[in-house]
Amino acid sequence: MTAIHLHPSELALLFSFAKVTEIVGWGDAPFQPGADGTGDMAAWYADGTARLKAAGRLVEKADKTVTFVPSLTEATLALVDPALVMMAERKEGSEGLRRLTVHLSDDALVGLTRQADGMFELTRYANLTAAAAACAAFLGTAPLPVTAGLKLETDMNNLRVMQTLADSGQQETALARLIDLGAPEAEAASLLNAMTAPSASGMLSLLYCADNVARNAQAYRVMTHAESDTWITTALGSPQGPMVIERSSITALTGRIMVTVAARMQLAA
Amino acid sequence: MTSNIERIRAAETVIPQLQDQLKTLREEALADDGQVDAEERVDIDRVADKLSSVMQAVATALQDWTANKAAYDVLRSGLETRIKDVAANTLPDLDQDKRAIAQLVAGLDQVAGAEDYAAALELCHKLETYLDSFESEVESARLDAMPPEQLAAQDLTQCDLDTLFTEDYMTDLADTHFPGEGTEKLADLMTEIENGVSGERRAEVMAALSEIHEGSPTAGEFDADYTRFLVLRKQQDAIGDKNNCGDMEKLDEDKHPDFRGSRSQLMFGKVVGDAFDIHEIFAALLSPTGGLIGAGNQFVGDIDSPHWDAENPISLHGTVHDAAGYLKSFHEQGPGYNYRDNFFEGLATDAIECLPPDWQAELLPYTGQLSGGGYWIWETGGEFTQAKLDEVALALEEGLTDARDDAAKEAARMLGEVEKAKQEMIKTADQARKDAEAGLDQARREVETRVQQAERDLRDLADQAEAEVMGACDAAQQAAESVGRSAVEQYEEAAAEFENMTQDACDTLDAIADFIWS
Repeated sequence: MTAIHLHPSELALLFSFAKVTEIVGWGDAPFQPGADGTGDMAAWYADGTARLKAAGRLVEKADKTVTFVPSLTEATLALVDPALVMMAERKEGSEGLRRLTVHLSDDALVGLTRQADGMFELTRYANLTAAAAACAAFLGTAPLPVTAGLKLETDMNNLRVMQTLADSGQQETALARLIDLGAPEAEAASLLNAMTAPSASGMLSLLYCADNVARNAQAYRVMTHAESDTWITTALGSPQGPMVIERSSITALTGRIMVTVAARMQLAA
Repeated sequence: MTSNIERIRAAETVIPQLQDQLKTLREEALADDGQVDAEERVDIDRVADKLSSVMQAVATALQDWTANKAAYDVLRSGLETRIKDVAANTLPDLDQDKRAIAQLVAGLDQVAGAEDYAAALELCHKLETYLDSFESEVESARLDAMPPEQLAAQDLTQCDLDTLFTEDYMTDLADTHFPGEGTEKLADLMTEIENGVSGERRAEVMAALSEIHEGSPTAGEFDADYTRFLVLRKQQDAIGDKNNCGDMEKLDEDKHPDFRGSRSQLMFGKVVGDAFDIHEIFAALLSPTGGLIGAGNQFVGDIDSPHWDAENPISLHGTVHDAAGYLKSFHEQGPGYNYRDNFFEGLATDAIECLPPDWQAELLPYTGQLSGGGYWIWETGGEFTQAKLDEVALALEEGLTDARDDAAKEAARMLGEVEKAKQEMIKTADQARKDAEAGLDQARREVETRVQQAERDLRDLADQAEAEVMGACDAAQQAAESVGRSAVEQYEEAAAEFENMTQDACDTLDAIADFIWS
């Protein structure tokens, strides 16, 4: 669970050794010099090298060759060649988001966030449970376990209509639609609160990757109201197909992620 | 004892002589007094031992000779057609090779005529190598004569490329060293080869390569590989032109003076060479910058040592990445940059192993039943595909409800236990503080005992809990805290950054993302 902080130039240097410039969930811009990515690459790499050396992460081996420390090597491999990326994006204001990605490779689970000072924080997770729990917590899900679960089935169109109704003040109509889907009144009210006035909301994307490219994606909308009620919506298959609305929590979402990933990976095997 | 049958037979004639000698010694010993005395016993035993030793040696030699003869007969008969094909070949460039093979066959016939099958077998293996090289030259000549578009359509790989890009292969590659790697001599020879060698100089270069490799491969084998290298380069140009890949990048020796002939370059050559069954030296020269360590490498050198660790998995990744990409781009073979085998299989196993055994039992039957649907998840196209995908996903969602509930309960248990333990500790510490404030020695001692016990309990709890219990709690706590520290990105910019996603993945995400952020 140790976290290390790396400057973008250090990451750019590491990625260059794997012949990779883009990282799933981030693209290449955050690791390029200058705001528009047109800065001096040579100076950028030199800066990255100097930082890694100073931090003792670029070391000399007994055979007099130079290499990166094993923990950094392992983390880099997960970042440049993941099998799965869990991307948690928490909504911040109307046009902003905070992002955590967790990259899963054969040997490592590495989380990546960018901090306000521009440094990246790399966190090594012990296992999938820890990584999934981190993503759920990052999205502000309710800490208390779900005691009375509820799951509703709908589709994207219906969900859009309900959102529009709720946003435009037609709460009663939206409530009636939710009750029609099978939600008890109190639950429907809680869901509407989460949809219209969340204390935290965001999106969790499970990105199934090969060759450092996301080949398929599964996304969850996560909404929490007043820290106690978390609701998620997700398309089970295609975006046009069936959608599920479900009461959730940090542990419920963690469990869902673990089982979904295990099942999906088994299907693809 | 030689395997030559004449000498074996000569040895056989000694046996009756020794048998007669032994018989005579025994008769003479008994003729005097009807007993064998000690002196007579020594003589008899000496001859008996010699007889036994000769008989055993003859039997072994005969057995070897018979085995060699059988192996030779099989091998030689298998080569007859190939020898005839060589004799019938009319390519003038191969006259010298034809003569060498004819001489070898004549020598072989002579040795076989003398019934020395051990030597004949050895020569036969040599002949087989010569024939392999000759046939490779003939095949290369045939390919070389093809027009570029026809050559471009040929599959020149000599192995199943799926076997090249496995984890095991990469592990072995990390441990591989190459004769002459990093030496000026090899670098100079490679420069010459890249520029092209012919005539006498070609023979000298091939001999020099063989010398670096202590005679194996032979100069002839290197020569055959060189011919194939030229054909591969021709195919590379043809396919490169067709696919608008541009000219093959040349190595900038000023920027990378140590790269030619380096271990990193030969590692790249090994992967490509294994694909085409040619030596890594030639394969490396097909793409002279293949395996060149990352752009940042030039800044690493001034630490103390100028040499980068070629075994570092990050650069190995880059090397294999280069090789897979080269094979796909310039020869239209292999999986391309998506080079890993059992990519999902391994991960699926890992992910499922994260779950307790009873969950696994619950999960696996569903995934097994639906495995046919897995295809639809990874291939897209058309309404039928979408409908099939939705059907599979819905079935999976229903089938895994219990597994999800169990997983959530377990996660809750994990988080709850650690939290409970923390609360206990806080409670005990509070009590300790209160007691200590009361200033009572007795109470303090009791308090200390309680604190120590609480610490032990917590330690026991941590020991008993699996690593994931603590890990998950810490991770969740840390992630929740890190939200405040993490940078705020602009959604529009963030969306534009998702370049490394397929269109299908983008479409899926966009639908949800639009909904959330609209």
